[in-house]
Amino acid sequence: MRGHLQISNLTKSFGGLNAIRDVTMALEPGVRAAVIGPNGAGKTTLFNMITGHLSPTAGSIRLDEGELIGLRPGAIVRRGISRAFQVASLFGTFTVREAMAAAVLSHRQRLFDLIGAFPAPAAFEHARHILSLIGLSDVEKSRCDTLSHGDRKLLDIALALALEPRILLLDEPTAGMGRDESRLMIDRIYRLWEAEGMSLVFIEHDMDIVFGIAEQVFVLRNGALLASGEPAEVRRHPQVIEAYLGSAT
Amino acid sequence: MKGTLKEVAVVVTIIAGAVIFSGLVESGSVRDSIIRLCGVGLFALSLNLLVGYTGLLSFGHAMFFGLGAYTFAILLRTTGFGIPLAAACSIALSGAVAAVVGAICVRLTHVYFAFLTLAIQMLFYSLLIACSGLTGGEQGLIGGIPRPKFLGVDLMQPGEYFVFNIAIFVAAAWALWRIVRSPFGAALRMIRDNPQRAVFLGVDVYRTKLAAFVLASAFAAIAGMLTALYVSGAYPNFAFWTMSGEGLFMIMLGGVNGFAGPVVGAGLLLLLDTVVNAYTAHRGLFLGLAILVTSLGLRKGVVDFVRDASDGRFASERTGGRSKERASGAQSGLHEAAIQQSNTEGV
Ligand SMILES: Nc1ncnc2c1ncn2[C@@H]1O[C@H](COP(=O)(O)OP(=O)(O)OP(=O)(O)O)[C@@H](O)[C@H]1O
Ligand SMILES: [Mg+2]
Repeated sequence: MRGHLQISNLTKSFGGLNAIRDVTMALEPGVRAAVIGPNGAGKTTLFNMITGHLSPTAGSIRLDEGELIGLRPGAIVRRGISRAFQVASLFGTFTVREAMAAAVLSHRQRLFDLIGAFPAPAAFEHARHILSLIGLSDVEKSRCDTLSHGDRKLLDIALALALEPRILLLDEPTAGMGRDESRLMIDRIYRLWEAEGMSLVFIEHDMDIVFGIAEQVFVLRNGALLASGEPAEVRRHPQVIEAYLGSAT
Repeated sequence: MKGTLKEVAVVVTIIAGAVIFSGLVESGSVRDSIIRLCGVGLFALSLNLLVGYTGLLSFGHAMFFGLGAYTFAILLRTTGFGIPLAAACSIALSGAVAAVVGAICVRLTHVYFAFLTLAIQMLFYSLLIACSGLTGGEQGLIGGIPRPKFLGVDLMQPGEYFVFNIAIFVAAAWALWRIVRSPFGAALRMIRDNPQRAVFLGVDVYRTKLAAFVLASAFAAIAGMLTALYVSGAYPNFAFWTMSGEGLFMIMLGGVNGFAGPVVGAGLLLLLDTVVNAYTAHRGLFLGLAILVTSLGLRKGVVDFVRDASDGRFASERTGGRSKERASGAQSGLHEAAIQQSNTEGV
């Protein structure tokens, strides 16, 4: 399971605003990487380009030498990149396990079946396996639109996991959570990484979390890459201290 | 497998019931009402595949009802085709036209989709009027449709004709029932609930919507054929926008949250029609009132209302909160289907 992601000279402008400017970064397979930066730095925009939701103004994004730019989101998903959202994005009328089973079937390209019953036991089994990994087994029969905030975020990640990604992008997995809940979330994400071994790229504001689990940190500010490297290196970077850590702590 | 057997048993029971019923009941008017319900009920069910299950608010569905009816009637009148062959051709043609129309329309969402389907339907309606040599123009196809015997079935016999209608309706409804409960049906509901997320889970939203559009149109064509046989003709108002509007009204009246809601809505509308026509010429006024009462008074379909009410009666204390939730879910009903896609900007 390879999955080397190379982003080169990536730029995105919205009219006059350069949301991402000339960003170059590389991700080795299986890495745990964090993308940090103040609000509006362009973090979500970066994810949107990697996943094909937005097309860049310039630059390239290659996965194992294959260019991703120009591919539709569905094609990028099939190459092994999936994502969870800053605001959990679910299927309101589905129960948790139905939504998971649907995601599993989608991954197996079995959604275009008009004859079979939904959800079939095979898809269910895999769905429940992921739910137990992520700790949602006790709400598997609840409807998505009745879940708590934390469970919504977890399910959002679980849906992305159903696609068995080589690279999993998490947009602020702990957004809107208290300290304890955040810890629990990160703990679960770490265990998922241990179990599945995919690359993990997450956007995060809490520096304790970032320096606790990331092996590599990318700092964005005003769309540009300010610094990148191992956490210890980045932490010592004078401009990072001044621009971001200084104001955040 | 077990579920399938049970479903087959239900289908067979209903058809057997129809056989017994047609032997017992002599009243032509009761039978006629049921036959009429088979056509319009199936039309409403097919439309609900788009509106209720996929979140596609089509205002042009009657076009395929009309296309099925006209093709069927014309083939029976002008060729030596038997009923099965004429029906197969009508379904195939309607499906093919739906593939082209759908390919253009399902790229759009919300009100743009609604208006484009409406516009194409008006175009089709104008064609029906213009090609009077083939379609009879404004008058429609008058003078009757032959009902040749096929496979030992004689539709000139009122009893056999009645059972035939029930059988086609039940078979088609069963097919739709299976479709909405299949993985494909799940994909439709994913698209309805959150198209953006569906895309990021690898669902081919365009292809899935297009398939739903073609399927719904094919079933509408079957409904059109049953109706054409019933009235022994095909008329331009089959494909007029008011027919599409009535389909939506039936869905609203019955409710989008249960599979059978649209059929109940169709039945209520037919009933309302019969009563209103008996007492007054102001049909529009009473339909308008009925719409007002259901949308403002009940704020959901009749089936949803009954279900929520019985929920409330039997379990008001324990699940008060839950049933309220469902009520509010149902409340949005049709509106929700139409505007759901607007809450997907959170990327
Ligand atoms: N679709 C868009 N059209 C126009 N401007 C956009 C669009 N998406 C993002 N922007 C702008 O680009 C900049 C970067 O936005 P982005 O959402 O990537 O920031 P972020 O780093 O994820 O911030 P936050 O921490 O608040 O989530 C912002 O100024 C934002 O307003
Ligand atoms: Mg963001």
